[in-house]
Amino acid sequence: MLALLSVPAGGTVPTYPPDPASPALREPAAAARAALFGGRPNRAYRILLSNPEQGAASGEDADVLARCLVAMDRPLEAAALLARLPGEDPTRGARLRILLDRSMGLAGRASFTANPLPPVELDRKMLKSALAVAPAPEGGTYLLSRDAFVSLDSGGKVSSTRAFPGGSDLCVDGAGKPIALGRGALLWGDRMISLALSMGEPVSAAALPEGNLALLDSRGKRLFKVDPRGVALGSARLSLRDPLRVRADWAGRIYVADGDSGRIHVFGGDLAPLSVIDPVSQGIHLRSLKDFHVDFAGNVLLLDGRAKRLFLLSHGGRLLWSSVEDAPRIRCAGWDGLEGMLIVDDREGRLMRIEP
Amino acid sequence: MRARLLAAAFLLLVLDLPGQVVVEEIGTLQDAFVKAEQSFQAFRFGDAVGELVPVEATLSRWEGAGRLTPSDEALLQKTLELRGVCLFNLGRLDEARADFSRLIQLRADYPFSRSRAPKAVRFYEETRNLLTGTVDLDVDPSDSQVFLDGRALGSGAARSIPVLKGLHVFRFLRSGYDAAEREVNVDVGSRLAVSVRLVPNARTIFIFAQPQGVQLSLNGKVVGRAERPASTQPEWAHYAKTIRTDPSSVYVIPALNLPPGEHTVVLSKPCYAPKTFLLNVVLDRERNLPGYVKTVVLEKKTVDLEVTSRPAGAQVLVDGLEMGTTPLKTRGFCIGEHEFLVQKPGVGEFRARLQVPESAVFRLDATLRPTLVWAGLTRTHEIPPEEMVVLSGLLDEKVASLALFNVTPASEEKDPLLPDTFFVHGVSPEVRASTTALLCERYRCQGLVVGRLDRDPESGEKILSLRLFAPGLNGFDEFTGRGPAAEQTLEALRLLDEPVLAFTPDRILPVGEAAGRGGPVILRDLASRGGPAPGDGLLGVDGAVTSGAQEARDLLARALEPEIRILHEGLERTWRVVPSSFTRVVPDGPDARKRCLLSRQALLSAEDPAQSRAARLNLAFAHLNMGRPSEALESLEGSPESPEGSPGTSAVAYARAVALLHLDRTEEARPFLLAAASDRDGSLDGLGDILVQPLAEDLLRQIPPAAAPTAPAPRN
Repeated sequence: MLALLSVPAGGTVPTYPPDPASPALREPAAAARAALFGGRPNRAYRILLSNPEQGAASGEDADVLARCLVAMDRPLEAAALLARLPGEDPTRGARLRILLDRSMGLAGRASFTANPLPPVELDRKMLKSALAVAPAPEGGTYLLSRDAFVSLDSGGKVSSTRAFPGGSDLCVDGAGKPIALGRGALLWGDRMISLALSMGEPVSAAALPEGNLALLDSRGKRLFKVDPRGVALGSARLSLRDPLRVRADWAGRIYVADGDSGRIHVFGGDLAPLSVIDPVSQGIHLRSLKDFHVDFAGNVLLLDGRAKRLFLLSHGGRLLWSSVEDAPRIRCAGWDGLEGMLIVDDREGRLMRIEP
Repeated sequence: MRARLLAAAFLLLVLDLPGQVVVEEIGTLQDAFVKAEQSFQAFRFGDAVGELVPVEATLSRWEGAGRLTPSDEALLQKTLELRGVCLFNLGRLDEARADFSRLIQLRADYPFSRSRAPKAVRFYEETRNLLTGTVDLDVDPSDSQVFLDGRALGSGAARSIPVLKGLHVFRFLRSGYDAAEREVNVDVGSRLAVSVRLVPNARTIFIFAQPQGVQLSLNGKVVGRAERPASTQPEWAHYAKTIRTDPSSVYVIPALNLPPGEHTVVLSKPCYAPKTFLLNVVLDRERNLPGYVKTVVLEKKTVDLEVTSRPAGAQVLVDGLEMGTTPLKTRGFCIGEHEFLVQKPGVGEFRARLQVPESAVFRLDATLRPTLVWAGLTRTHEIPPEEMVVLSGLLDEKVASLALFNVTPASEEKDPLLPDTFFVHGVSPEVRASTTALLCERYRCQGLVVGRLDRDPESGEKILSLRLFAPGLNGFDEFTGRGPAAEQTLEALRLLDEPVLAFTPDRILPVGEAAGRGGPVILRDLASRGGPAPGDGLLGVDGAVTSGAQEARDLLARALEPEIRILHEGLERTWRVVPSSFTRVVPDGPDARKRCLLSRQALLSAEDPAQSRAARLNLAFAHLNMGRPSEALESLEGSPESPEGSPGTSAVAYARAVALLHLDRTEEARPFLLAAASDRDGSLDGLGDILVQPLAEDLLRQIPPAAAPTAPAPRN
């Protein structure tokens, strides 16, 4: 197991409220971030409460505090904190709604709307052979096939195409930059990162909120934490039969899908196991888990590759909504973690936007 | 004499203290003059002249250097007079004339009195007539002050005064009149008449009022009281008769020298309805006669007084008179300003100076509160004294009307440096603590507040620091306000009086804008109190429609107990937000002493277990913030079981655990932490904004694991 944070040595235990005799933490915001993304949200929470600047509930501290509350599975408290923040943030309304839906358990929404996007300037065969899709900033789209990575603008026109042999996975980071995994290499935004052979046979990658990457090795069944240059920071061995995909949420929790069982295994930032989301417990019997995505708050979107269906589950494993089998016939799906959810309709060979 | 001069010279050389040397020299000169007077009285005129020579020489030298003070000048005049008379008696007339001439040039109207010998007096007057003319003064009004070339000549009573030859300026002053000046050119032997009539610029008004003791305020300032009946002055009595009033039953308030124009007049007296009117003052430039305001009669007004207190059963004193115990109802209570004291022995008191307005009933709900002694305001050298005086007056007035504290001034303290004790570097904390304890005991107070006005050297802004001390508590709380004007620094007072242990409606009811919800939604679960659930739409606050979250927050922040309209599962309903029904706990902050005083009082006044629990928690956290974990543990002893809607047992368990950890009693803390960590809904603040569970889990993870139980020894 990766030990990203060392347990504090003996001496006075730092508390909230702090003992006035103990020295104050020098950079509380940085310490809180390190604790949160190192898998210790409780510690980050305590540090932020102890920091007098936190009283203003603004800026970086408030952002980290909201992530802590998400990590501690306190969606309502996170929503209340986000609502108090000053300034205009276009994504805040979406975050509030998502957190409220989670906290109130709006389960059983069976329906959703799939709105077709403008026809894309691509050979329909290529669209129908797409492996993965992801929403790009300003209404654009990223597409990944076995051989190429394509960027489309909001009108469906191709803005760039890059040869990308062995493409296997695509998702976006918090800033909307694509993370595409190919053979021995990873494309992150405009940067190509070579992956060391010691990382085995990576099948999936995800951006972590602190700026690192999570990489899933299916051959060695290991989960790696990698810095932006591709250098491994640590790893954990997985006892899964078929490690399929890796994703991360806003609070730094890492989600690994097991293609064999259809379960999602949740890990902390220190790669320690936290929980398991089992669709079967909600009566969802996946015929074949093909892909999955996670939103900022830890809600999980599963794609059944054989039934061509989507299922949205809360972080606690509750079914929030699902699509109907074969209507539309979903080949692949992408999610920016907020409201940008795209699918490729296999039957029509069209891109569609999902409005939950 | 020489020895004394030598001594003076020695002092001048040895000490760099010019003030002392001058004093020594003046003393020497005065002694020499006295000796000369004695010689004069013994008819030893030659000796007297000899003794006066160095005195005259020294004073003349000082005069040339421009350092002659008024007392030196008087001595020089007396010296010239005495030496002139001695020289005259010795027959040295030219020298005598020279001294007299010099004396007259110094002061033409010098009252010559040294000799009564007619020859000498005539000789002096002849000398004066060779140098001066005469001015005949006639000033109206005659009690004006007259100045000649800046020197005071006394009153303007008609008289003749000698004036040196040349150009001179007379100046005439009197309050209520414009100042006047006259330039005169005097020739030797001439006679000039100076007749001046000053022009009034204000007018005295006599206000007639009933009953006796009516207070007069002009333009917001108290200027007098109706104490003297009109019969005490003939012109008042005459006026009273012209308005057909008995002069002995009407009282007069003189308002002296009012400038022309409108003035706001307020006549008031406790128990009487005040009267306000505008008084237009018109000058009487011809005769300047006083104006009169016809009798203003104030009407007696009373109200029904109802006093309740929290807790009930407190003694009520009004203006020092005992009225009964709460709940109290009394009839015929006088309107006006009264000093209320509601006190319960061992619990606390409520003191306030309140204005009882004209109405049917006056209700006072007195929450017993801590009392502070106001030790006054000091300043740094950056602040001029007059600026501090202005702010000090404002503060004296405003501290008396704080909501959280009773404030009593340290009125018996005469030491002007008392406030500095609490600010100056070098005064030890022990001295401050003992001074605080002494003053709190003397004024029967629970704390002390003191202020200092300073200026930021960079921005130039003024900074007011208010420090709160409490006996037995180390250190102090500091509340600061700053701004370009002294009034803006009163933010410090607002911070001191901020109700830190109370929730506001906007804090109780967070709202946000959730995409797709079409308006503000509520982000707190208050369903257990019959209130809204998370996600309910907020339709309105106190009758106003809320279309956006920010608007809703603003409305809630301004309201005291707002009634809200909510949309819950498609149904519209209303709910009133009552902040006092929520008990707030503040675990941390820079105002621990303030919270300590308030929570001690709240504990004494607690009327139910929820209030008692919250007060104990607040007190414990305040002690923890001051580094007093043992006292924090004591505060939590006997905490009642958790009632619904109050900070629960997990909060108490957590506070206990933290206190024990601060005392390094880790093993004793563990069970409390385990209890706290098992409560997912527990919060420290009482509303759910500071969660107990993650804090307890964090501490459990930090403390060393529990020691494994020792295996029993094998039996043989």
